[in-house]
Amino acid sequence: MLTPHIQILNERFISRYGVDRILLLMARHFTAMGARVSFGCLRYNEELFDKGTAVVKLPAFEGDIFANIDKFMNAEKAATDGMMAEWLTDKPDLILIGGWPFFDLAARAGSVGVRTVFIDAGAVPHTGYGDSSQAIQQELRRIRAQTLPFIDKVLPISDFIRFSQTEPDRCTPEGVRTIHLGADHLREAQPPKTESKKASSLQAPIFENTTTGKQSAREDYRRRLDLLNEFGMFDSIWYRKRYQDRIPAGQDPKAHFLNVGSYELLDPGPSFSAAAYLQLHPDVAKAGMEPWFHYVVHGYAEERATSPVAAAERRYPKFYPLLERLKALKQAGRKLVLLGGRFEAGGYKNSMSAVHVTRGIRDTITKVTLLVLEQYDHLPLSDDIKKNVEGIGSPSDYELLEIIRLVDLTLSTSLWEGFNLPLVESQYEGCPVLAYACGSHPEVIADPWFLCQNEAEMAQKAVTVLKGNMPPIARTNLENYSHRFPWTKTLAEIWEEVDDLLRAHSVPEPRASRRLLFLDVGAIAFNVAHADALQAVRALCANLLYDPALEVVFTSWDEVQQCFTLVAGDDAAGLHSPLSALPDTWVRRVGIDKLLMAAAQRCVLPPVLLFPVAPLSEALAPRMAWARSKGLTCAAVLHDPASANRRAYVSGNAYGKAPDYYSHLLTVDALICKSSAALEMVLAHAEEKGLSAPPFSASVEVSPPFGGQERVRDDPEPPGDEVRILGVGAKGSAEGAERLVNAVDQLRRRLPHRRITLTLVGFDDCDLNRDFDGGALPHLGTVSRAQLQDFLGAAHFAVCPSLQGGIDLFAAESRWMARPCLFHSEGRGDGAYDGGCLAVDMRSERVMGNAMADLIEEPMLYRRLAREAVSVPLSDWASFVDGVAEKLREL
Amino acid sequence: MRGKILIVTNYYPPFMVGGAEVVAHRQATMLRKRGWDICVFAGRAADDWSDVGKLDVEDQDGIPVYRLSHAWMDMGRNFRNQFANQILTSLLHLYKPDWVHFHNLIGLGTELTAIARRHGVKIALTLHDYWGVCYRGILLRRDWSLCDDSEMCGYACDATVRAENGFDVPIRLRRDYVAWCLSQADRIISPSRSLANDYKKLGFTKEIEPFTNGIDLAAIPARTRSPKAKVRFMCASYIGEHKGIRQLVDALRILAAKPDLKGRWHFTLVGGGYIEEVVLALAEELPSEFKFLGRVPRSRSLEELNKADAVVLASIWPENEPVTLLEALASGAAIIATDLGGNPEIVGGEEAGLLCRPRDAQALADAMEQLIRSPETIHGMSEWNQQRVKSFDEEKTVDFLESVYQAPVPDAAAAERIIICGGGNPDAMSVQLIDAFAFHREKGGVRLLWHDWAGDKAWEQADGFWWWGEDCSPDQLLPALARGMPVCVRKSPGADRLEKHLPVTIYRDERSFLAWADGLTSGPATAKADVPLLRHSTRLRPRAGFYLPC
Repeated sequence: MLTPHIQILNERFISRYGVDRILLLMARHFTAMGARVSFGCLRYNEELFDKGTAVVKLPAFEGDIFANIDKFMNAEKAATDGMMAEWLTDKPDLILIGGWPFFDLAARAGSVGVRTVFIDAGAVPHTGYGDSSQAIQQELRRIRAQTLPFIDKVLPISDFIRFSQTEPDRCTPEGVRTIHLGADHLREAQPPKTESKKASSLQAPIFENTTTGKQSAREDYRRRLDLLNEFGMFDSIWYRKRYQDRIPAGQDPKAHFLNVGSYELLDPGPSFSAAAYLQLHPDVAKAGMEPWFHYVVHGYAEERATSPVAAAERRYPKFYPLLERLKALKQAGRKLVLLGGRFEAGGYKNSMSAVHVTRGIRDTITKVTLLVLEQYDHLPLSDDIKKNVEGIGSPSDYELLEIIRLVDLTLSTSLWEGFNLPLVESQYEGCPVLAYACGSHPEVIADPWFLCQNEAEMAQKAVTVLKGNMPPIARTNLENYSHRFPWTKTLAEIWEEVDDLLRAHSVPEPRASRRLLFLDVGAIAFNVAHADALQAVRALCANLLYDPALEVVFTSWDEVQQCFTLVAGDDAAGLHSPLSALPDTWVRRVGIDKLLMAAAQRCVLPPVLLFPVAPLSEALAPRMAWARSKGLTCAAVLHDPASANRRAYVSGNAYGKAPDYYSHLLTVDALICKSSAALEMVLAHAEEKGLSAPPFSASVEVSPPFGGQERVRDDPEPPGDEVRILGVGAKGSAEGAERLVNAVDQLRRRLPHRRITLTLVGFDDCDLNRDFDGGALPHLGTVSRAQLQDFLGAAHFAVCPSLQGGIDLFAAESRWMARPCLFHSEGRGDGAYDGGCLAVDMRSERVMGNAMADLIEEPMLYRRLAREAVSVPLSDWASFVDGVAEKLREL
Repeated sequence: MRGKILIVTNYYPPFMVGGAEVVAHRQATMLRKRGWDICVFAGRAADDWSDVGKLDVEDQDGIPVYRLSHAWMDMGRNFRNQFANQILTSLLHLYKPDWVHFHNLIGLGTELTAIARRHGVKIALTLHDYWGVCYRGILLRRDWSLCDDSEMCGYACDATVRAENGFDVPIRLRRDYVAWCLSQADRIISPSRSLANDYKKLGFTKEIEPFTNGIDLAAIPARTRSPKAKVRFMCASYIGEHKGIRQLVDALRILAAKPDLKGRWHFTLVGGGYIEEVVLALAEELPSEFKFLGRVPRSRSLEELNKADAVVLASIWPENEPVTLLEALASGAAIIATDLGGNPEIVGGEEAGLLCRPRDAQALADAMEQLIRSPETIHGMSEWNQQRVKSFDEEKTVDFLESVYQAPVPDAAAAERIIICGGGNPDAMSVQLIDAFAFHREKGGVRLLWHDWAGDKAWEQADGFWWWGEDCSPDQLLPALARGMPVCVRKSPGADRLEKHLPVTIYRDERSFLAWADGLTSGPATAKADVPLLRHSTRLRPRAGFYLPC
């Protein structure tokens, strides 16, 4: 594979934090390793990508998708449909997903040859969620459990996630590898530069921009954006809350500020007041510049104050008031403790615990300040602790890095973390972190000593750390921490897994995958001529549908369009009713291409087109050509080759085509014959003609009677005065039916003391309107299987006068009901020779009549045959279908 | 460094209860001297409940020692310790040891072995007592009689143990769980053949290699005892029932009652324990013959040993390889010990000392009287023991340990057969079935593991899942169905509904249940169903709530 195409999919790419950051780092690494990387998401911030980067943005959902469980559930399907549609023109070799809403897509992707990797960061606990959010989180867990077994590789970010979620959801450890995240990314954050350097991009885009463009409004926007980011003055959380009534739903707050807010003199964050700046510096208003822009371009270098307070107290001579303020606190002798991660009072983040711990620390060290990544006004603090807590909002990466370097201790009070980036970021910078002994903390903590089991212990250890009494071993391990989680290792390990999949020539061995099976029912569903084969097809239709390893789709060949189309209906009942054609109204045709692309979930194995009855050669060729063009494996069931091999029983037209038929049949990928004799015959033909046998061939012996119904095991009584005969035959066996009726006529005359009745079922398309026994011939045509069973149960024996079709089946059905059966001695029906049947030359009415007379007049003969019928081993439909399904699974 | 070893032991000097921690400490120290990188994760008896879970770390002779306070006396908590699990996980990630060597785990919990196994590190285990097959660890029943059938725990001792979620789980399941955890070790070492054999007899299927814990000869002052008019006896022991202290006290009274022996013997008892009042009373009664020192530093104990002519151990439980007897050997003292457990392996023969019937004060008194009346025999025993102790030199033990750490890990023997079970508090019928199953099966053939305790390794190895609840629903069976495991559920309306859609076996009575269990575990491991069950289970997967524990 020269340049593999890797598509990275995540709900969003809007920040340099969390999963977004992880995936963007991976993208950069994949690109460096020579892959072509594209993205797919629901929303993204274009500043994170270079202009040349391909990003598929799926249509936005109306309203808040996380507030509505139905929308949430639909998002998975919509994402699958959307991405599959994109793949019609540009299909990736591998997708790497960050989670919802791409689980479903990842589970299906294997069926279209796309390999899949999931970076499993785990699903958060539901503690503290409201009803609607909780329902969504629960649904997310369900989706994970449904899809993870079918994703090629799942890479949990910690052993904690692996053992608590990944493996339980995936049900197997295969394809699972823990790959810890890195810790050294914050150092990429750049400090502010002098004005002369500000024109350059301050933070390198994720991808090098290889395209050059003329100066444009877009580039101006980009420059303003860079400056805004560089100075860290924009606080998106604060801005969204402060101006929530002015920001359109779904719009990025920063984009709103740059496009609208700045010109309307809105403040970018709590630390910069546009109005105050203009009031302090009238020349700025006169110049017509945006206040914040003036400050970063001129005011900063000119040491202009940003607020009246700052001007009066001269406390913030530089722009970075936060850092300056924190440094001042530290210089004043206060111990600074940072609460790692975002502040959430409820739920698993358990942030208020840090406040309680601070209270405990204060009992010993009064001058302690807890720094919280939240606006101070939003903190639910009681009066006694307010002076010990500072809200520091949402600092930039650079500010955060500086804060971590400044503080004496970090607390992580979360009760669940899949990895805990804030924790590792702090430790990487040498800052000790006390964390509760839960989640991934034992794996990522610098030393077990830093693990705490409750607030009291955390407060006690915090005092120990703040007083400089940290155990030397713990200190040494903290100092060595920077070697433990380098991103280079993380990315190299992920690449190993990705590369391993890309190098695989075939779809990986499925663990528990299903196969999409296109079942060609067209030839048989609307043509009941081949009763035996028809029954087999109906059995396949009825039972394969429920085979857990197969996802069955009914298709039929469209002669006009020369392609397969989807046969669909309200239900599939018609396809397994016996001996009946499907009503036209039942059928509607649907294009199959899209279906092929959006294969059923979890169908990782290559799809198969199955001909349940091998079509004749002229029909087979175009079907095969079409299937091959779609990359389908072709399989065919050959019911019996005898009709094509015996001149006496087939039309001259068919007979002449037999060799050609075999030759075409040999081109399928898999040939499943209904008997070993049939398989031998075809293979002998291949050898004789010097043709290659199909890569896969097998036989499934079958004599399937009434599946699901209890077999009759009681010997029937021989006929007495009343004799009931059941004649059965396939479509088009009019001559056979005629001979049978004549033979029974003769028999009635020959045995006048018996009351002989004849009932005919089947014989569709046969004109049998004639008198019989003083009335109309009881020809019932197509009957249900239950009716057929009843008729057989009522009859003394069955006669199948057909010279070719349906013998195996009828013989089996008859014996299933413990009734002897008469069949053609030179026809097919290998199974009928096992016992319970009489082989008769059905071409002769006389011979037929003699045989029936023997059965009626010779109770011993009848009893023997009946005994055999009861005892002969018979397989059922289920075993036949199981046999076929097994062969299909083996492909 | 030659390799990294993480040693895990429930106690470690200076916090000691018995001899096992001395062994762990000695081995850690010697291995470090030989160039191994050693880290120790140890426990410590918590001062009170608020102290449980507290972790300290210190550098002890260049070895980092992490000490976790634990509730070692609580039999419901001392075999599973979530906090210890977290600490071990952290150490495995931090130190990346080549081997984890476990010693006694009471208090720290046995799940540690499964965690180490899951982590992929090699595991050695030294057995020190019967805790792997007897939750009391000493094979003595509540009435202090010797247990000869570990299936009788529920009758002779405690019937149930309270699980974390409040369920009262039959004690047999705790026993099976602990035994299964210990069987996760790649190499299992028993200091005595006696203990190894007993584990086998009690159903432990894993191979156990006997090898002495050894003794530090240099640390024990040795001298050859010469015949004296007054024989000095000494015993260093925990002052508890299982150590035979009551029998010892009775024996001393018997001796004291013999006027002709007056002034010809003296007995010193060292140690502490919960029946100290018994020995304190004796000390008041026999002030000139008997002295009770209580707990003393080891150096003082060794001083007393050096003064003694003979060391007495009156234990009524089958001790493994008592350190006190090894020390006696090394010091050149004669030995009197009960004929039980690993004691005979140390005493060896009459040349070394005298063995007497356990629980028999008269026999113990007779043995002491024999030495008092024939002090010259002490001289012979002393010489003999000083020669013989060389075979217990701990340098040889450390040689052996190094050979263990350097040898390839043996192929995992056939894993123990496991049936994971659950269904809430078992009712009378289920308890009866558990018993019936235990008595029905071959000893050691199959382990029953409580589902809440079974970690992923156990689920991976399990042969089947038994749900004894009076009713059942798909989600209760999902962990098993999703793994393709055979499932057996009790006859109920829910079970009848499930049977139509899921491959579950319903049992109605003891016979049908045992038939299922037999079929499951009598042959080779049942092939796990994969596709159909998996599909069923994923289809059935409900929206699951997932909450932090309160």
